Order: sequence, then C-alpha cells, then structure tokens
Amino acid sequence: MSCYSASGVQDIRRRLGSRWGRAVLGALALLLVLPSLVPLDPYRVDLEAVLVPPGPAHWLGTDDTGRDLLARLVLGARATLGIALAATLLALALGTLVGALAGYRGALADAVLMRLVDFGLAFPSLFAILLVAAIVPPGPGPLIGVIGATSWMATARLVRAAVRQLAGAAYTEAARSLGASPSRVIWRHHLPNLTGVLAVVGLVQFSRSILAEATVSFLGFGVQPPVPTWGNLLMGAQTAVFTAPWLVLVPGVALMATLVALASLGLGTAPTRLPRLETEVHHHSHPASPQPTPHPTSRSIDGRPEVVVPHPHQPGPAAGHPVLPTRS
Amino acid sequence: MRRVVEVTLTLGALILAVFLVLRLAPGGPAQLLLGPDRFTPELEERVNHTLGLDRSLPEQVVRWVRAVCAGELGTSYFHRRPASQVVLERLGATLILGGLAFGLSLVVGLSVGVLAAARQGSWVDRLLSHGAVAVIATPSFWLGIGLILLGSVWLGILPSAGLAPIGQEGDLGARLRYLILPVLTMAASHAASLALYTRSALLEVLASDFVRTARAMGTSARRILWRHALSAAAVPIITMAALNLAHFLEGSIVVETVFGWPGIGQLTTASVARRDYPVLLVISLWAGIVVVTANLMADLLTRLVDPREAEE
Repeated sequence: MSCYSASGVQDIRRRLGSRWGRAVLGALALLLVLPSLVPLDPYRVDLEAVLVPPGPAHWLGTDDTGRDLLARLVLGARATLGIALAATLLALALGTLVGALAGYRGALADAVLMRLVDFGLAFPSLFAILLVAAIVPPGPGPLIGVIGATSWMATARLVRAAVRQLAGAAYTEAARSLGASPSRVIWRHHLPNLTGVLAVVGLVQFSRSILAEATVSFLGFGVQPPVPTWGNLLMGAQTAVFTAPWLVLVPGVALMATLVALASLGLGTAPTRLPRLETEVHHHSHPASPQPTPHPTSRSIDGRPEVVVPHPHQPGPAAGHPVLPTRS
Repeated sequence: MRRVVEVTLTLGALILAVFLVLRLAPGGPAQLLLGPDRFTPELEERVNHTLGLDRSLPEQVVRWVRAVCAGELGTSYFHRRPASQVVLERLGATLILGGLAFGLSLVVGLSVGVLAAARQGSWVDRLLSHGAVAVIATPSFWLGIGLILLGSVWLGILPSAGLAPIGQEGDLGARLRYLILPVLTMAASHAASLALYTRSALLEVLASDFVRTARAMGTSARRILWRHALSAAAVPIITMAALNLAHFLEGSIVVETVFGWPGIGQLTTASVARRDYPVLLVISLWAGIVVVTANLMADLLTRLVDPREAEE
C-alpha cells in the first residue's frame, strides 16, 4: 500500500494553496526573475573595494576581488534554483518511466528494476555524484544530469506502487478489454491519477536538489566560478570565515531559509503550527497499521535523512514519510 | 540464502558499474600521471600500456574482475602505492569520527525523541520538534562552518581544522578538542532525524489500543512510556538507526572537507580532483559493502527484536 494516501496529498495541496504556500512559491519564482530586474553587475571586479563589509555602498559587502555579494547572491539564486528545478523534472521523468515499467511489466523487469532502485536508494548519492564529477567536465548541464540521474529512485518506487494498485482498478480492466495498449493505459489513465503524488515528490525532490547543487558546488565539483551559485559562493568558506564572515553567513542564510521554507511546505509542518496527534477517541476506528520498516528512501544529498514528522490526520511513521511507500 | 545471492549480485553489479563508469572517462589518467610538463603522446602510450588501458574493453573487465577477486585493487596514480593501502591508512580517522558521531546521534536523538513524545503538544515538544526540523534543513557543510565561526572565531576556544596540534599527536586531551566540532557537525542532522522518527513512532504506539488498556488498568505513565511503548516502537527506530550508518560515508565527505580531517571523505574529494581512479574504485567497493552490510544488519536486528518479522 502506498502511504501517499489521498488525504496526505490533499493536505499538502492545501498547504501549497494557503497564504504561506503561495508566499513561498511566489518568493521562489521571484528569485528566478530577479537577476533581470536588479541593476547590479555580479562580475564587475573592483580592486579598490576588496572585502568591504556590508554597508551603504555594498549592502551585503564584497568578495576578495571586490565583486558585489548582493548581485552575486541574486544571480546565484537563479543558477541554484534553475539547476535544482531541471534536475527535479529529470528525476521525476526517469522515475515515472522506470516505475511504470516495473509496475506494469511485472515479474522479471520488476525484480531487476526494484533491486536497482533499492541499491540506488541505499548507496550514498553524493558519492555517486562525485564519481561522475571525476570524469565529466563540471558545469550546469552535467550537474543537472547527474543530480537527476541519482535521485529518481524514490519516484520510481512510488509510481510502481501506484501503478500496481491502479492495475487492479475496474477502469483499467475496462480500458484494457476495449483494446487499449499498456502504454496507452499508463499514459492516458494512470498518469493523470498520479499527478498529485508526483507534485508532492517533486517538492521534496526540489529541496533535495537544491542541497545537492549547493554541496557539490561547495566541494568545487559543480558549477565553476565566476558564474555564481549559492553553493560555489561558499567554496572555501571555511577559511574565509576568519577574515570575511559575511561571505559565509549571507549565502548560507539564503540557502537555509529556502530549505526551511520548502520543508515547511512539503514535509508536514508549517512554521506556525506543528501537527498534533489526536490521542483521544478517534483511533479505535483505525485498524492497527503494521509497523512500517523504514527504508533509506528519502535521503538528502549529504546523507542526512529527510524530515519525518507525523501527519496531522494519519499518525505514525508511515504517514510521516512523505516520499516513500513501504515496500509492499 | 536468497539474501546471500542478492548481496553477491549487488556487489558484482557495483564492481562492474564503477569500473565501466571510470574507464569510459574521457581524458585518461596518463595526462594526470605525467603532468603537463612531461606529457608527450609517446609517453602516454607507454603509460596506457603499463596500466593495461590499451586493451579491449571486455579484456579489461575480465582482468579487473580477476584482480578484485585476488584482492589486487590497483595502484594509486597519485600515491604510487597500492590503492587499498592508501584507503586503509585513512580508515582509522574516519572510523573515530564516524563512530563518535554515530554514538552521539543515537544518545541525543533517542532522548530528545522520547522527551518530545512524553511531553507531546507542550512547549518542550514544539521547541524540540521545530529545532529538529531546522537542524535537518541546514546543509551540514554550512553547519560546520557556522560552528567554526562560533567556536574558533568568536569564542576562540576550539581548533577549526586538523587532526591534532603539531607535536602533540600523543596528547589525548588535545586530540579530543579537535574532534568536538566535526563530531557535532556530523551527528547533528542524524540526531535530529532520529529524534523526529522516535517521536512519531512513539506517538503512534501511544495512540494504540493496548496502551489505552494499560492506562485504564492503572499503569503509571512512566511505565507505559518506557516499558510498553518504547519496546513496541523499537523495531522501526532500530532499523532507522542502522540504515543511518551507511550514510555516514556521505556525511564524512562533507565534514572532513570542511574540517580538514584526514579520513576517507577527504581522500574521496582529493581523489576526484586528481582523477585517481584506483583509489575511487576501492572506496566505492567499500561503500557498497558498508551499504549492503547496514541493510543486512537492519534486517537481522529487526528479526531479533521482533520475531514476527522473520515469519514474513
């Protein structure tokens, strides 16, 4: 059974539609277009104004070649968010393809693909990304490809579970008995049913991709300077921290604020209220759910697990895992 | 038995995949080995011949698999020594760091989770849970840098990087001080996620029928929490913790780079930069083994704690 219950998806949809959700999504969209609106040059080197602390001339200070940090931060947002968005779309497409294949073709394809998915989920993805970084030249394109290619597994598992569930539905049988091909059944009948689920996985995947880009670029294997991203602005930050702490604090706070905002949207906890479990009468009507075995399915880039927060309507670890159905 | 076959197949596939990915790489290792000054096409050919890179791909694969089975994992292009030796030398530092961080995350994560669940809905619960969400949302490299800023720059009491002060390598107290910041950085997010997980697992159990019965029969709240709820919630918590173990490798890449800690993580980033393929191969092999072992351990522990799982 998928733990992406209809109510879970609806809940996140509702949260996305709330004032807070619209504010976060609006702010992110604004960050994508902002570089065209801000009259600042992120590449202008000014050796007269090297390492200037934040002040009236440079609101967020300058870096070691006198470039304006605000301008670089704004342009970096576009790079980081753009790469994360593209990588997310790639991961969703790949995951849907593999998941549908495994769920619909059954037996052998399923066994092989799911082994692959299991291992892919368990294998440290940052390590996989770095292996590829060792052999392809760094840049936005390869980075999108690599992040997407190492993060489709959660989607695949989810889509597979959903397709298997839908394969037993009456309308699937009806379509099939009318002569619809498997690909038509999946495309025309199953996929529309999966959009809500995919939107939610996409949201989680998006914040994970942001973190991935930032981490890889921080390590120096992502987008290369002078093109700024939030990750490579922090490159070498562990030494800059002694001389110019604003160079470290500003991009870091931007990154963290974005990730916290996204977490508050997608992962079951809004900043204004924490879901509270009802321990009162309602629960005896729920059949006791089996203890789900956690899988290493939702991992962020540096090996940290995703937030697992109990759901307001559906208590327990099962509901708390936003991306993963337990293995059925 | 099925598990053993699965494990063997998975590791076999990993060995092949890593080999293929690295061998198909453009810009061979000869350039890196020779350096820009001494690089000539003739020399490149000789290097490729010595390394066996000029043979056909299937032939290389067979040679590689045979070498792996014999424990021959190649010679590091950079260190000019057996790659497995290079990796083994770094293993100790990573194990100390990772082991301490894992222990700390277990202790802190479990206690915070139990505390939050016990005070469910109170300000304590809200503070801890929001705090945990914030910690998880913080990129660990930035958390590390933030801790350097706090501990070394502002307070000036803790060293920012390295393994030990020069000349005092034998001094345990001095070495421990160098461990504090990296261990904290590495443990933080795991502790936070374990806390949230423990909290939600406990709350689920606390909402179940048998707890209500126990409460109705007059069992004390403390006894219910520690005796009944915690043991019922143990399976998913233990599994989660065991699976975390595999991901300490990823954590070590970031944390060791930030803190200049000479372990496997730092070796990974350095080897990526140098395209030292043999070393990367050895590390991937180890990573695969750790992942598979952690999964097996999680399975075994689950069966140990809950015999029902074994029957499925």
